[in-house]
Amino acid sequence: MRTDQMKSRSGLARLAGGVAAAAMAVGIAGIAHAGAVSNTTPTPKDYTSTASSNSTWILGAKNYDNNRYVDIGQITPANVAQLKPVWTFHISDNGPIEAAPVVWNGTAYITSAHDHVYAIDVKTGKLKWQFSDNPHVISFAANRGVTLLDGKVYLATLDGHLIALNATTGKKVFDKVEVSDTANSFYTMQPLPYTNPKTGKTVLLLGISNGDWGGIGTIQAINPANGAVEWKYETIPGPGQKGNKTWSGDSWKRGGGAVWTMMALDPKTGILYANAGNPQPDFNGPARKGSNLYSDSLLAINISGAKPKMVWAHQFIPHDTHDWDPVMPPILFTGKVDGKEMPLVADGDKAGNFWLLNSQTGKLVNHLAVSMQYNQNTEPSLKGNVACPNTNGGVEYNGGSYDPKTNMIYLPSSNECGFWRATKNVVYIAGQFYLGGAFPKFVGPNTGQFNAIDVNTGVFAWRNPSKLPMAGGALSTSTGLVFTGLENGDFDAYDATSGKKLWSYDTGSPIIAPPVAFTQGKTEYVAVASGQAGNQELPNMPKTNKGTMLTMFALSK
Amino acid sequence: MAKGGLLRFLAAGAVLAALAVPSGLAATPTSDHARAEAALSNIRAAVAAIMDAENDATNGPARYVQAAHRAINLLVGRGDSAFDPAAGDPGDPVGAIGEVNHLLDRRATPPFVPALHGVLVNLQSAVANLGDAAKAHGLGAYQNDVSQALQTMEIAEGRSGTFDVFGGMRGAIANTELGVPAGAPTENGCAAPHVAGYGLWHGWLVWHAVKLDGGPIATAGSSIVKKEGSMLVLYTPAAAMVHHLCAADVKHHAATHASVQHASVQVTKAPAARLIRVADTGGDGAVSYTMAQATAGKTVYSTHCASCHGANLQGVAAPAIAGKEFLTTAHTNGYSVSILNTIVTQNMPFNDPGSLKPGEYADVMAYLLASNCFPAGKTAFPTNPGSHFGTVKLSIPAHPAGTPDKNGVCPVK
Repeated sequence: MRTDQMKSRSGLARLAGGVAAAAMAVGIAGIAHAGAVSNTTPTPKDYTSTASSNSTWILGAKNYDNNRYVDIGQITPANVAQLKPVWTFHISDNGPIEAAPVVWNGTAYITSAHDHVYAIDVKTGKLKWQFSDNPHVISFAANRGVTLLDGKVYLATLDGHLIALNATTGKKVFDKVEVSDTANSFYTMQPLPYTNPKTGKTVLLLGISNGDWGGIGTIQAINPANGAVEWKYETIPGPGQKGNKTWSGDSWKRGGGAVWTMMALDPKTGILYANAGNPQPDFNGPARKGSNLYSDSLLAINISGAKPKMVWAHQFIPHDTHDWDPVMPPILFTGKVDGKEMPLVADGDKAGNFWLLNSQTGKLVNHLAVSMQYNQNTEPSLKGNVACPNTNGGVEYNGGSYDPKTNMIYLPSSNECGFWRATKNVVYIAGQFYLGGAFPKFVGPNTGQFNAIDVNTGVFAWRNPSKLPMAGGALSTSTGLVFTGLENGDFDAYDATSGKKLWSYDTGSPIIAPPVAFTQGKTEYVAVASGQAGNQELPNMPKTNKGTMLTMFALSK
Repeated sequence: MAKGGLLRFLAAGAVLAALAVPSGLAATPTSDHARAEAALSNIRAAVAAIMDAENDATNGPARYVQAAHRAINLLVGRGDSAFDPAAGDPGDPVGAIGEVNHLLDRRATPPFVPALHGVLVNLQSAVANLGDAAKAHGLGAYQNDVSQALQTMEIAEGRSGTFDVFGGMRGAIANTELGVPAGAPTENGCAAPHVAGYGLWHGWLVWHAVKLDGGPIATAGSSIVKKEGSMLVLYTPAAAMVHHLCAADVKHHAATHASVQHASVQVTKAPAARLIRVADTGGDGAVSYTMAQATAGKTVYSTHCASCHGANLQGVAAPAIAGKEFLTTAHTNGYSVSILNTIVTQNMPFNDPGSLKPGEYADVMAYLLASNCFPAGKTAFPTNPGSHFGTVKLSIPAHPAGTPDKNGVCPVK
């Protein structure tokens, strides 16, 4: 805290003193971070200490480990029933909302489907500023959060731009196209800031969403000062690279493997954990014979050197023909398995699998089916066939939470079945799905469950069924609570050990965004966004919808 | 003189087919040209295997089944699970499909790639049909499967006419760098030939020049043969198109000669964009729909599409599908009405593709066209459009039918 205040003061002085003072500050400090003008935004150090800070929420899943575990004291199983909305902010941009708010220094930044950013005062729920981008939408409108750095708000957009806004005013600082093929490439993820401890250089890491549109998986490292792409890493190996022969012909060229969901990072070692998505064309296997590396894989990539280098890769589903990519933000943790402590990484895929790997070697430690699975080894035929889950099912992009106290993973999952059909020919049309078939039709019923997986035993500690699929992520607290949002609009709290439901609040709109918790002043807050269900939309969802909103909760006094 | 050359070329043709295509390749070829020739040779041998059995006077199915397996072996190579050792190893370890795969497996996308994708799909289809044929009960069923396989193999091989050999493996060899043997002299295809050899332009084969010494001419197909000086120049069917682009290149150079470096970058990028434009000029498939269809389509749209694409087609969870932004992107991506129709009928509604009736899809298409300010007519939007339907490219209409709102959408009543 003290360091923050000092930085803040020196920042103000520099602002007032202008260039000369700034130069002096750099000269004296030697390590001053360019552009860290005040504590309007976090410093690289703040990003590496998120796990121990309960007053902020600056990374999508709380910290680089993605555990969504928060150390709080006031809200407990005994009093959670007194949790009430403090305010509800109605979001004017209509569409599915999948983001957790980013909270820093009294301001909550929430992003909506069409890349609108709303900076909201945490205490009052009043709008400070709003930025409305409204880019061209290639396919699915979604934005999973902004990144605060160097006095700026970084927004990665649906038309492949990186936009930097002034964090105080919301005014545009720069706007740059970052993708090479604007017809089929877009961003939905929160840029992940990484500062190399050896060089002190900071980059924003971004994966491109192009995985059902005929692109190949790409992670970019972007210079936050000017938007320049420092390097890029492709998940599908080209000719001469290891794994290229797992693709027939040149099918690797549009092979997919998109990195589109949150990545985990060990900032000390510089190992990035990224999920590469499903192979393409999604539903036509004969067009891409082979195991199709590194689609449907978790990749551990060392990004601490000049060029990124793969450490290990673990493919979950070789030659996937159902769009069953691993999309859960991987959770890094040290947990006990069979009584022994191990470095672990948890992952989950849309086929309904929960995976536990050794985070140093990539070796499988445990595998558990968390959704109904049926007929998974039959490729979609021209006539069509049923398999479960469908492409919305299993474990979705918000993943879950790891609680180090209980050594449990809390993970929502879906049971949805689909009727798949492949087409004979696969045609690439710029900017359109590259599927070799069609997305599956629903074959009911569509249900879900909230799972507590005991890492030690590898099986469920408890499971709560839900009448609708579940894709709202999870939040666990040091006081023994677990929160999750439901697609019927309910925001629920459970006892972390027993799974007993302790509190529920109906927001009025489906929840497909993950919850957050933080302390502001002396108040502990819990927040969640709700709105349209987007591509999680189902025939059996409630017909009424109260619109898109962010609701802030606290204990009633 | 040109006439004499042409005659000589035609006379040589029959000999050439036999010379250029050895019947069995024992060693794995290494150059692109050799691979292409090997693929062609395998395809031809597969066709021959089937035809030999057809023309044989035999009793019982064994000979036919053997022929189907032999053809499969020629297409897939010995490493594939479909390979049947009992039918004999034709020699090429990777088969026609393997050779095509090798040619495709590169970062660059040279002009032969689209043709080879077609070859690949047709060969895969042929393998499936031949597999069915090998398991067929009765001669009738066998011939049915084999006929389909022959048809796709012939498309993969490519056809030749008097003036063109576009399509398939032969088309790729005739019109692209695949026709150039390893180590053969090459020159800029936009210029006239100086020495015997091949004229290339961005991967397109423009001409093949040979000395007038009376020897046989190895070529896979030419559209025009001219005597130029001491040489006989065989222009490929691609020549006319490439010469058109050469002229554009010269103009471009003249316009930007102040920045030579910049111009050279532009030129390498130019072919794709220009080729699209050349192809565009051929499209004249008229599109029509009736206002009654558009009105009916509005109801279908509001029930099945509006929840994702918005009540005013402005886009919510899914993209906008009418107006300035949509049409600008459609123009950039080169969408035709036919492409739009394919996307709508095959992929939509997103959660239940193909679930609407053909008439409902046609109505929705009419509603989309009307909303994008395309004029209605007396002919209905078809429920089962033919292949020449809807080649009209989408872009913001110069003369909108109706009054566009601020987003460029024409409201439908």
